[in-house]
Amino acid sequence: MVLSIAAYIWHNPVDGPNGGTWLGYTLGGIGAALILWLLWFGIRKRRYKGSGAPVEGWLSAHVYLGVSLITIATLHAGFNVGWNVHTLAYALMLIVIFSGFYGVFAYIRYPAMMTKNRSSQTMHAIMSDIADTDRESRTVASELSDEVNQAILDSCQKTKIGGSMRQQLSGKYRKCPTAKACKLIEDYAKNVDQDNIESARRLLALMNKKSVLVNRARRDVQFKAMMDIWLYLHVPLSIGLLAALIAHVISVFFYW
Amino acid sequence: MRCQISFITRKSKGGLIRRDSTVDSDVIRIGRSTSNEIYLEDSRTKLHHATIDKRNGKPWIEAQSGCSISVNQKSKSPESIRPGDEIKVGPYQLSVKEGKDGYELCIEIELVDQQGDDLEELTARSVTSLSQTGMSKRAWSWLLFLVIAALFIALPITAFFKPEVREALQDKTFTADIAWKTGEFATAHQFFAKDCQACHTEPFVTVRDKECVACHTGTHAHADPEFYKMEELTGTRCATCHKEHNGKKALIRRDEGLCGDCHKDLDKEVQTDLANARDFGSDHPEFSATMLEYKAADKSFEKIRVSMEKISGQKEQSNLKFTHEKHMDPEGIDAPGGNRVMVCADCHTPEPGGAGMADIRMEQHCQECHRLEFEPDYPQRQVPHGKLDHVIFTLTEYYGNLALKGGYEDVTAPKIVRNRRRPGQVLTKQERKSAFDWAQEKALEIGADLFEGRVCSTCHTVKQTRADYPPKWDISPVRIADKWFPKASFTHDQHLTMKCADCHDVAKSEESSDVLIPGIDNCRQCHAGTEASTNEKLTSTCVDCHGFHIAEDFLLGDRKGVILQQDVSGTLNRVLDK
Repeated sequence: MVLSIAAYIWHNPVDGPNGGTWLGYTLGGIGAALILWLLWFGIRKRRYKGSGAPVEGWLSAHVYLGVSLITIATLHAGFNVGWNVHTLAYALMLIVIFSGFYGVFAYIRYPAMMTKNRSSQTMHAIMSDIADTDRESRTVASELSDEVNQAILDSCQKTKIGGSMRQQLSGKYRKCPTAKACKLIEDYAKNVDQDNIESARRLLALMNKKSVLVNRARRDVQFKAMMDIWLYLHVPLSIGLLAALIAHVISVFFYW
Repeated sequence: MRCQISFITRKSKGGLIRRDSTVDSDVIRIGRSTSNEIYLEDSRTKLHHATIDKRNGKPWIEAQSGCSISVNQKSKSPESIRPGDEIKVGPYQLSVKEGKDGYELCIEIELVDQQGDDLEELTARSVTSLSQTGMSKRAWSWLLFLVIAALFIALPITAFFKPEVREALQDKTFTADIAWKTGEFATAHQFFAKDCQACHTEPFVTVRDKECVACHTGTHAHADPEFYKMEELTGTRCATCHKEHNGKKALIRRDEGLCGDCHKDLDKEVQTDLANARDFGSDHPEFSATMLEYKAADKSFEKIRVSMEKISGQKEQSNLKFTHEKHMDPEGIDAPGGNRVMVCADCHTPEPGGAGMADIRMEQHCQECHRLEFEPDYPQRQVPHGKLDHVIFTLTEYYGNLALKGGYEDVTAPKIVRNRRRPGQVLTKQERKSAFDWAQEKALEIGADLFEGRVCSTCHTVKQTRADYPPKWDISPVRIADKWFPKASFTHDQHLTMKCADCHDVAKSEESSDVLIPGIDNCRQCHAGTEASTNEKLTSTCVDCHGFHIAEDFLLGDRKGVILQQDVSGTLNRVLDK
């Protein structure tokens, strides 16, 4: 990287810095080779029995070489941009790299948050706890009014973890039946008659427990989505970049 | 109403468990509350879901407000019931049977819609990863790859090989290969900028000179390729230096490398009279001036090249007698209007365009002082500044007129010239001849005085070539060098901030033969090469003074001798058609 910056500063082509000078071709060649190598990571990481360096080493190299690609490609282009396939390739490359930056950030930030959030439970255990709470709360609610019973029933039957992309990422669920039931029971418990006060309290405790569990599960899904979402940009755009790169290379030599 | 209520439970390995009970009441309530006659514990039923009672001696079932039931799969309430009816209350199915053993009615109750496993249902409802939402990295990847490849690879290449596709796609704003464009076109090329194939005629082949020469027909080559057999000269394409797609300003190379790469060691490459040069400030030979050498034998001038190093021994052979020293006397000179201090611009002015200096003309610049008078009595009359025959002719005319008119007071003149004419006097033939002979002789006499004495020889070299009658004189032709440095493009226009004397030391020049053109040292006071920034001088590269396309006898197309006429006209026609 330092070498390419030094060469760029030293090099003074007659037609200004651009991809068509000897340095431009050299940096372009290095850049294209880097892109192909970086793309190869997508294949290499799937080969669990791959020989040579471990995947961790490849990932580290993938990140550092990806960063260096910004410099090399920018110098290759000589800071020239336009409405053409060349800048398309450059723009796609930048989006891929910067989405990768987010990936690095996400992989540093979210695993710790997930561990903390799960309180050493697995996702299956949390879901199982929710189901247990559902069963118990349904039994308790059956002794209470139809309104409460129906709310609990809805909470049991309609509450979901995760959902659409937006729900997974935001962790926000409008009209969540569990939240609705919690609120209802809270109000109900305040005015309940003496006979049902014990059941109402128990149900309130159960629903609060469920609410905590549901939120925990949803946050887990949210963190995981935050960790995964960038790949939906990173991977398709890197394949788009491959096409744009091929178009770029073909076009400049086709119309040499 | 006495009813038998039977709860049926199916065992997992087949068989039934039947739990019978008796209800004896006018109104049989059904629901989740334990106070009901028929207690259904599943939470999916309401506290009080429905009621069975007797109406007109027949049993009826009616759902409570806000609850729903179905009788024989039809949502009806209230509805009379009879044996064989199937009633659905929440997850329960109530089958009405004929009453036996004193029972009016028998109702078999079975939980047909079992509560599912909560965990399984919750898991089934929940979408806990992005990959389950239907988004597919693979599908998006393929889509992007194919769209980009189709638009930016397949389409332009197809259009290149298929004119019909190209024409179908081409309009004023869009062409199939528009996205391949790497940068702005030079202004002069804008009018065919959308036709990439005007220049890029063959795939994967660099733009060839014939595409350039198709339009640039009159551009000269740099040098004779037969004489200068250098790879740099014969193997360099137009586009090597003139790179397109670099913005609206066309690329003209100005770097020293354009010339210096070859000319720094030119003597090692080819046999040449040219001295090596690399940088104007540090590596450039002394100028050579183009001077005129007078050949008296045939009265012609020949151009000679003289190095400025040897210029001190040179005299300009203009055949003009002139002294800058006297004309530029700071005290002034005697002029018709009195004393006048002359300045350079009185005679030397740039020609239109400023490339060179305008011609100096006798009539315009000299004659105001240097009058061509010949008759003291009539000073406003002058001879023309031109051929000697014309001067003699003018004089003969003048004195012929006087002779015929008579009354000319000159003791040397014949009587007929001196005598005044009487009114109506007619001269005889003899008298006219005598008068005219005198006029001719007078003209030659005055002419000799002008040529050799007081007028012409002030500036010109005049020699009598025939003493016998009629005498003849000859004036050496005058030429001054038009361009001293024709191989460089100096313009006075760009040096107007300077004083003339900064470069031309004319104050002490007594002779017109003095060479007053400065050499390279004079220019280097202000100009340097690419090292200029270090010594605070003006950066001046080779092309600031020299042209590249300078081979007078060779056009670009001739250079390699490979431009086929049909190719050239074909490309040109296509370009012009656009």
